[in-house]
Amino acid sequence: MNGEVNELLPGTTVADVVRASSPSKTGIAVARNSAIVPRSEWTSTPVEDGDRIEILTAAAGG
Amino acid sequence: MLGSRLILGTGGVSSLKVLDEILKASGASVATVALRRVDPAARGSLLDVLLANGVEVLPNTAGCFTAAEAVLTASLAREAFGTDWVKLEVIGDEDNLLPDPVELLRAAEELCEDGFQVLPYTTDDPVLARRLVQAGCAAVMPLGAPIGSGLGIRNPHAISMVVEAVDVPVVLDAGIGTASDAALAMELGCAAVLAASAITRAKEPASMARAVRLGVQAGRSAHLAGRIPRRLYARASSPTGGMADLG
Repeated sequence: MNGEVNELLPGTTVADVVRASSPSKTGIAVARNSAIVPRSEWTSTPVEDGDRIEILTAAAGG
Repeated sequence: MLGSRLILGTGGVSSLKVLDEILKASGASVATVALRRVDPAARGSLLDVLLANGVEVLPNTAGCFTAAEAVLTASLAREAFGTDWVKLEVIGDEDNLLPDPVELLRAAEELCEDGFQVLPYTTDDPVLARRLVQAGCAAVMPLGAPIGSGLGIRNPHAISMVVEAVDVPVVLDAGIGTASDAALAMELGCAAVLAASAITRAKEPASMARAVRLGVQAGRSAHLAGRIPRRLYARASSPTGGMADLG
């Protein structure tokens, strides 16, 4: 997740990892293995062994 | 989208407090953001500061080197911020951060097709600008000089040609170092100016934000007023007749 290896419980979803990594749910986008996971699918998308999850938000940038 | 003709690039801002100050001083109604990994240790939210100031968020694709990366980043930004607008950056060289024209055009075509309002960061090439507009871009954003260089507009003639070449707004992006550079961009017929480092890395960011804002306004007024033509020799402004004989 975001470039680090995390051990997760079986059944963990994208919504779970978003909640754990960000205090805010707005202004967040998630990519799973370089594909977008739409917000509406966060709770139904499981995180599986070896998945690369990117949780992204706004940063200062030109 | 543009209530003000100054777009604030948030890159290089030292704190959210300074961001709040320069947003107010600049009068900008649009500000750019990059998309990056969440920082669990972050205190306060950049997005909250922008929204509290009533500023529209213009996400960029900074850091992307291929069309594929830029298209995915734009799509993630749309998901995160709920906007179709994207400042499309596809970089071709790590040192000068100049755009890769081939990948840029490819990404622009794909994103326009997908319903994005694309504002591409591009070279000061009128031919490429026209191709980007043909692809459906909502504006073009030619560079005055490399990003963060503060070198001003190195080739004003090229910027004029871009303005003539396209029928969409031209936003001068990159290279602004101080208020007079912003004024020149507007005098050349640009519709707006994007300034980031010039403001965020100035000694007094809020004061520079105000100065650049005034530069944009002055340049716009001068453009509309119509400057006098340049000439090689003097043309007296005092009457040449009625001279006293004082010899």
